[in-house]
Amino acid sequence: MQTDIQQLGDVVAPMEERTKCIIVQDLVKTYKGGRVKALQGLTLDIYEGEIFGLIGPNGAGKSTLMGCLLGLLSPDSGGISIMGMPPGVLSTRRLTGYAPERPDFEGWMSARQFLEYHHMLAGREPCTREAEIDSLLTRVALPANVWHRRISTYSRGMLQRLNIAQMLLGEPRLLLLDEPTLGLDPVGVVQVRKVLMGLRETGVTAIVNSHQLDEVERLCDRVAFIRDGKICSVQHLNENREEEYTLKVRWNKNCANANIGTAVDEAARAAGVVLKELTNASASFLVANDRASCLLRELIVNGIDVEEAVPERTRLEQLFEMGAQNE
Amino acid sequence: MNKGILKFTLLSACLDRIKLFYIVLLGFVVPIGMKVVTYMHGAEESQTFEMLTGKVGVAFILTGLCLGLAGGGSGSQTGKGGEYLPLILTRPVTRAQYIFTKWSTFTLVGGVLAAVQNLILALIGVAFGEVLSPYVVAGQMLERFLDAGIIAAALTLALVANHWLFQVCAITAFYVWMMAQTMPPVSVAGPSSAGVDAVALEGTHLMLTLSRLIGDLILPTISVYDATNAPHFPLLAVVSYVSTIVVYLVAAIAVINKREFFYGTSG
Repeated sequence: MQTDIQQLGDVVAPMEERTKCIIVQDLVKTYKGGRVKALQGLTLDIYEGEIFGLIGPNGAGKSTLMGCLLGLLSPDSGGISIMGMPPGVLSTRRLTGYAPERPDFEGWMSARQFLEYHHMLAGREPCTREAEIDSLLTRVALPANVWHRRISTYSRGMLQRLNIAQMLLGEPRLLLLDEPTLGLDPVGVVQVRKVLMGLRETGVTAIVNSHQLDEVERLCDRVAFIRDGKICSVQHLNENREEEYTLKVRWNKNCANANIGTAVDEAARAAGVVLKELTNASASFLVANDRASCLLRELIVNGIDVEEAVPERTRLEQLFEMGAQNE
Repeated sequence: MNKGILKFTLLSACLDRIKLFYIVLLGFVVPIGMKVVTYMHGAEESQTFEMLTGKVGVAFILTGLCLGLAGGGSGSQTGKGGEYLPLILTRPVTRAQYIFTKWSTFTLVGGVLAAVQNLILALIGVAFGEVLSPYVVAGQMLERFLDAGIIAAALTLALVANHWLFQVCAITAFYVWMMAQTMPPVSVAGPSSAGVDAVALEGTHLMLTLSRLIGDLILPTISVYDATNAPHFPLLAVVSYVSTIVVYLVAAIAVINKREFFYGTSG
């Protein structure tokens, strides 16, 4: 199967014309006196204005990498440069926004108080406080009637919106997000996506650590698959959409066409796709992105009463599966 | 000193319901209630309420204030509704600034609350016929501030240093110190003798002497009344007090600077 998966070290021309925002070189991090190897010589470059995804199984080292980038963990060896500065120093922290995975913030505060606290911690000018907080709460679409309510009474979705708002305080140039859409309703997911896309336009770099592959695929320019503390592969998501995927097509069981098998086979051949599996009411095809519409047209022309066509898995799911197979 | 941390630590003492509950209950309701009851029943000689006032009272108030401090350590993934340290430490605030501001605020709030408690208890005593000069009461109130300073420093260290061995030592030391503070006063041991010495059992005597020594070592305090009435400036007590605070704060800063915050799944 052809994919656009790039092994680390391959040259990717367009991206590399940009300025590097983060350089991670041979990063090694162990726990428990070296018995647990979280990162094993991880090397990675992230470019300015890029939304970069981190995916991989639990315990792969994603959170450790995020912790090292935030300066919350000290690597055993290797180096990190964030906009030319080491992680964790005050000048780097001024440029960084972080959204933790579980936003269980101080429950006694209201959203406004919480943002006021972080506005002060971020060292922002007091005169900008009210306007900046109002603008952020509006931007993440947290309803105004809960701004003064205790955080302990918030739903998961409200907390996540507040989490995104606090991350954006101080106009950061680098964002680190841990499961940014977890617990959000579809409107909230779209909101977060819009915010990040908008920030990308202004040159803000973002790193998204998530298990929600659909969302990562929609958001990110590139995605790294991490396993056993190493980068197995880096995939470009906004280029070369020609790779194949499985499309499952379902039709009406009472379809008028008596010879379904032949009709489906002919349609597949005419569309230039591979028929993988056929039942009475459905079939799976291996298709390239630009062939899906052609296949559906051919099926209908051949008298198949198509009801539904669903991609069986996203490209990142394929990447995940390949990573697991290589284990 | 960070204004944001100062302001919101102060606010948490007023708005965090759990903290407020502990502080009001252990700092005011119980000791004041006990004092009133002992006086009403003519049992003021028992002085049982003193076990919840003075230095121990300050310790209880400060423990309430410190609830939820330094959450989100290596053992947990979240702040659990308390203070989520990893998030705070991604802001442009130095860890030393965080420790120093927390300690200053705890000292201020704990000192004020303990001084108010002391004043209320003194007023109740006076109302029931106790003879207390304003000079003595002012000395006691100042002493509560000094107690708050050193206990807050010890608590700050104990909360940021999350190694299990240190935690075991800290909790043991706290109980040993508390034992020395709450041992029966002179009147209970026997009016003609001197407190600890009046306790007959040798084992108990040794234990109490030891706990007093450990207490003096880990939380040395300055008796303001004694100091002001002493012929010489109590240099040793002051040096011991100040140096212990400095040691605790420097250790807390060193620990938090070295501490790592892992919040992912353990692999």
